[in-house]
Amino acid sequence: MEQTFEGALERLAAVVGALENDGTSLADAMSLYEEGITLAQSCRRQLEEAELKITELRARTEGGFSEEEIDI
Amino acid sequence: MRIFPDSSCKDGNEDTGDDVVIRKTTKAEAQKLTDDDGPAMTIPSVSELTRELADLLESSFATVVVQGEISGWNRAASGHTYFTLKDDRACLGAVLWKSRTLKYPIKDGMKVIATGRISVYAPRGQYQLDCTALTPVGAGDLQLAFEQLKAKLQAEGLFDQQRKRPLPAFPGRIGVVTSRDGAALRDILTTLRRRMPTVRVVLRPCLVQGATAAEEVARAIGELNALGDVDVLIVGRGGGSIEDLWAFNEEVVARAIAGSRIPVISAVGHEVDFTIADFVADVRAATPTAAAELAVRDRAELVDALSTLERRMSDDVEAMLRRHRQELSYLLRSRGLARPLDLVRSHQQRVDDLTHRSGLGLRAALVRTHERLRLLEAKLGALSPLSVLDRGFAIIERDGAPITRSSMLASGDGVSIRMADGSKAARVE
Repeated sequence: MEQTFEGALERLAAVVGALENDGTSLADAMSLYEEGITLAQSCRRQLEEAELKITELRARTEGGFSEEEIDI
Repeated sequence: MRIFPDSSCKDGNEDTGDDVVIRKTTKAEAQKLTDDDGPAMTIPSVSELTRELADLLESSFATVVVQGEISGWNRAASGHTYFTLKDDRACLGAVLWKSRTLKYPIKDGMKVIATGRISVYAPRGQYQLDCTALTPVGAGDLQLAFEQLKAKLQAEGLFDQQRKRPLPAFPGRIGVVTSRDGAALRDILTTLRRRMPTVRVVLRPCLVQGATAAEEVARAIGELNALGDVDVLIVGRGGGSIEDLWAFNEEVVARAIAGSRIPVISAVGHEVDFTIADFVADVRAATPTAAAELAVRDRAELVDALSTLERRMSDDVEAMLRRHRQELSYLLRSRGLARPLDLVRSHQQRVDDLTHRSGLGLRAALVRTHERLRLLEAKLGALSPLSVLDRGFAIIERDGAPITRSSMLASGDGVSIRMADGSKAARVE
């Protein structure tokens, strides 16, 4: 599942929060831990490999806007 | 001898009919030179005559102040500006070298006071004003208008420090308002790529100089606000003359920045002075590159933050396993516990699995946990009711439940005796 970078970071923060919550069971903690480590690895990889995505906002002749990816 | 004025002069010069004699030669002598082969008198070349003219003019007019109207204001690719100063009867060609900076934007038709010196440009036989300073005659008005706008906006509180919003630490998307072809955009993108390539960018290109620029910049800010999902704006342009930057002193731009829901970083590439946009913005950057550096952190910081989170997670899990081990030890003191080893084994397997997968420098922490689990297992093994059986003890069970007191049994009850190698049925006497 392709997740945005910010989405992954947000989920990672939530996982860490849940792990630090005393109410979490051991079984849940184990699966949260797994998820957390996977997310951290994915974020790390994205930071190393990502390419800057740029879009341009253009007014349409019929009104409204379009957003298109551009390469600069 | 007549001195011809700048040929670009549109008014033209009236033929006054006066001749200005420079060379100290009498008409008679001049006549004689051209008549016959008189005494060997050196006749000056054009360059030599021009040289004399230049010396005379340049020394006599080494400091000049003149007022006139600007026409033909033209900034060449070299950065020097050529223009003409005129009134209704005469004109004077002039040049402003690019190193001279202006305080106010100059346009054709403006009345100005120019300071400089007269120089002669020999290759074209022209004199011109080498301009060192130019001030609009209405400069007082222009300055006044600027100061009035600044005071008005300041009184409204638009420059207040409390109004300024903090920039998001990790913006998801950055909106950029600048010209599509300028160096500013390239600098911003290069810097973002280097520091945080995971950030997304939406560009709303517009003119950043000229009469319509201020309106366009203001509109662009509004559109990015309306678009949504934009976390910070960079609004600006590269360096240029004061007239080039003037759009960022206009009220409409100031109001658009003040009204922006999204925090704004102003990046008007004018190192020393502040434009009104700079005062209103949430953060002012000296250059577009600086703006991009303010907008995003360097990814190394984020990588460090990730390492810290990973460490916290492993610490949390370790602490949990420790707590659970303690709970288990407590539970084991009471008998009748069925299969404690399985519970520990499944967790141990999971930890093994994760250790194998992690590769993030957590091995030490997990190995420690692993070791503790092994010790736990050994301890459990020793405490396990099942190993007690190995030592010859037996468990008496009735209907599957263990009997712990003889008072629980009555004569004739059927029981099951469980020993290390199996069970046997028995009856109480």
